[in-house]
Amino acid sequence: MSQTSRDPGPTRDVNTDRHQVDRRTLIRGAAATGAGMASLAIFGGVGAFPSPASVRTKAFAQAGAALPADAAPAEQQLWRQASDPTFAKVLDFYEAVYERPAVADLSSEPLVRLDKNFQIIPAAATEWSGSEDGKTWTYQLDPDLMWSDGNPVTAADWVRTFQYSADPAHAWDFTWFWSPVIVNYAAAVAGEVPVAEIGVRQGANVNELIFETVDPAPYLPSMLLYSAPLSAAALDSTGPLYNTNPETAVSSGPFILEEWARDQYLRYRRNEAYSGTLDIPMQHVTVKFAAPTTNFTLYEADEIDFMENPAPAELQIIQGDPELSEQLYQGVGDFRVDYLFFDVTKAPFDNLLVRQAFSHAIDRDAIKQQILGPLGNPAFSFLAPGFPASNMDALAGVQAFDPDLAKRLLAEAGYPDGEGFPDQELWLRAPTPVESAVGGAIGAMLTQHLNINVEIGPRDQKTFTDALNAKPTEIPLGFVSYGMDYLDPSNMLGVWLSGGRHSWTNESFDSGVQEATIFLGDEAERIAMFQAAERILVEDVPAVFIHYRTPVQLVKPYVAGDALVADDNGIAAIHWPGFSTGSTVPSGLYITQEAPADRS
Amino acid sequence: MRDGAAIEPVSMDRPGAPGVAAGGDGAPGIALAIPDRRMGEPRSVAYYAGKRFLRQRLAMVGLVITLFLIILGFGAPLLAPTGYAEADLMSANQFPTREHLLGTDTIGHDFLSRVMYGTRTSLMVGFAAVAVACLVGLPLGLAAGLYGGWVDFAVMRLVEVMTAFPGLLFAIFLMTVVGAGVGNIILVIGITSWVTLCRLMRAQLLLLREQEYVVAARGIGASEWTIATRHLLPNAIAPLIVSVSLAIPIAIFAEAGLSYLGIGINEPTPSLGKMVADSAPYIRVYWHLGLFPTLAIALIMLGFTFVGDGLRDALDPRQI
Repeated sequence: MSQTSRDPGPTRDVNTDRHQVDRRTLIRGAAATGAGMASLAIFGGVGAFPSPASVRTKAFAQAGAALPADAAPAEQQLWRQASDPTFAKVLDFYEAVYERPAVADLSSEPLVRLDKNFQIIPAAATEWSGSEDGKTWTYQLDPDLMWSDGNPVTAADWVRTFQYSADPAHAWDFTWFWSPVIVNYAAAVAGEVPVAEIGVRQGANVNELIFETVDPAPYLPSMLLYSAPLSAAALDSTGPLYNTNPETAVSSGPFILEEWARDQYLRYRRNEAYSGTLDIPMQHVTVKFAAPTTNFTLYEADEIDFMENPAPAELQIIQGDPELSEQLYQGVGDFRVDYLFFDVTKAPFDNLLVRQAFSHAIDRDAIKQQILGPLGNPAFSFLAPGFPASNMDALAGVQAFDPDLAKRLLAEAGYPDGEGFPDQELWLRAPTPVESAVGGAIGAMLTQHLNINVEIGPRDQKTFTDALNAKPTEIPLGFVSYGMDYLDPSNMLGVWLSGGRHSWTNESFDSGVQEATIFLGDEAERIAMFQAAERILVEDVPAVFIHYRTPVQLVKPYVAGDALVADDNGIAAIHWPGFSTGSTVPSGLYITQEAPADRS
Repeated sequence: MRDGAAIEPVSMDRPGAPGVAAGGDGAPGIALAIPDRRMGEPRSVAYYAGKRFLRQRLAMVGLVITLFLIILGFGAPLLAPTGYAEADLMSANQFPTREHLLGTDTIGHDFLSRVMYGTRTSLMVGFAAVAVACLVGLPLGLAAGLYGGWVDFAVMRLVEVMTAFPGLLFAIFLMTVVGAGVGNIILVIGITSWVTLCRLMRAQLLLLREQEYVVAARGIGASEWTIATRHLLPNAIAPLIVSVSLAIPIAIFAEAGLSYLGIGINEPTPSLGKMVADSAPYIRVYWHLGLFPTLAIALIMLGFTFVGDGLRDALDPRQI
């Protein structure tokens, strides 16, 4: 063989290029954004929010504003990305959040959105304020905002939207998000009260919207990132699926549906009636449906302008190519963490010693070095570095890799050298190549260090999710990830509350998180409360935390704009949630004259 | 009246050709003694079939490949450098070296060991699945061919129902229901591939049971059991051997296909199909991850197909 030297692997010796961030930058930068975001959510929301008037401008094309000097002509302003057809069963957020391509949200303007520094900024709402007790939130709507059918966007649209979402006949897959927050929402979902009684109503006029919350909710402005409304008029005339057909599509966002060829492509055109705060150079958006494993091929063939999460081997190709490596960006994504979880209600994982043994048997550094490379960092806690209340350094020793200790703990638990330990199946959810490799490595390490046989059991998305959510859970041992919905510790830690995603219950943890969530006092004190709760989580080991994701992106060199310029923390990447009305990204990207003229 | 051709050999229809093991109409029969004109002593049909088989170069190549793979696969626990589940993550993604002759995979398994154990899995599934297919298909075909009437009607309707389902889709459905695993995949492939054997057995019996020697046996009072075991089955066995030998690579390929789709055999048990599937995202960098399991599948298919073709030619009565 000509190639006899040991290959360094796809993810080793990763050079930090101009778009990548090292861990220290990531921690420092994201911590700053997190803290800023948290303080904004807590304090900015309760008091009067700065007037957004200064940030409002009209869209380029409508105002006739010139594109940047190096921009391609307007007709070439087309944004192209790929999407997994598995998650494109519907186009409507209010039909199936987890089965719609996120780009479809471009048809609706939420109340707020995130800027590139993860700050909540006005969108359809121009300003908002909270009551003294933090339970009543009043949003002033942009009176100029119009639907594409000529109707004004009013509070009635949000009221109808939230009522529709809580309708038990609808059985929306995202009701869990609002149920603990909005007054009567959970009861409406359960069919116990009419949907008209939920805590979302019109205020003093059609441009005033009021939310009433069960508890003080300083994080509500962050949650309202998920508040893109349906058109009440379209709901009445066409029904909830009006945005799946170009002939009935109605938009309050910057784009409107042009064509949807199922499992092939999705195309949006500019909504000429849009008068929101995003100044978007793009005239069209095309989503090409393809399996994620083919994205790099599509990107190389100039079929798409952007892709995320290349496979490790693809990353090696990219890093070895002078041109492609210049197109590489790295961000923080949604602060996602991948972890191993147990059903702690059943043997053998009802034994803390067993769970601790597992936590000490997994070498995260080796996984980072040999599999993840720049795609992730070793995790020893649930809240990723940079996320508000992250406390990884203080918790790093609790689940640290120590195979000798792992063996001793397993022996103490009654399974010396793995004797008598039942064979296990490690469930994976529709794993990507990286997840498969990490899952395989975890299984191999448990065999190597604890002499436990672990079969790797990949499942499709639905089977896994149904089994995970079943009460009692049907997954004894699984590997899954979780990322934020909004930038507050209550969101991430909330997934571990009793009765939530996992079978673990801990009263101290529950009360700690719940008290911190509604705490309106000193920010540092609130953070400390969350950190104390997270320590309980890490020490009781309902999960073994494996790695925090640091997503890698490829963006064509002919794409430019402020979205690709480093943020206040030095991180240059297309930030979560990406090309969506929940973000300022769409207004921060344009196509330069260097782009091929025949892009489609 | 003769009880088939088992009582005495019959003369050849073609000058210079060995005797036909059959009744008066020339139906084949392996167990028959045939006179060798050169030696002046009778030889069995199996002897001549074996002789013809050995003369076929491709069949011999296939046999050598098959035997090599069988030794490699089933000898894996003794011959493989490491166990199939042993992994050293720090040695992941190595190209072939002296230490790892076929390199290592993405989590540090020795790839030679994985390919050897994967071959064992494939062979095991191939043999066992065809055994299941035989266990289901042959008795049904035998009953249908032997008894006819409502038994034949019932079996053939069942065959039609099975035929109506596209094989791969039905296998995917069953795998989804019963779950992954070696035992389950053997069961599923067996259940979805018995139809061919059943129909062949039935067709053979329908042909043979009208033969004069069967009628004669029945006329002298031979029991149905005697007729079936002494006259029908021995004469039907040759095409069945061919069919079974060709069914093995098909079953192996089905396992590879199902595992490629991610619904076959779970890690850490190695499966060649799954190894090929897993190599896809890495193929442009780590060529060895795709090449070696693909070669192993190709060799298995080639070996068994050559052997099957050789057996078909060797046992073809028209060659006798």
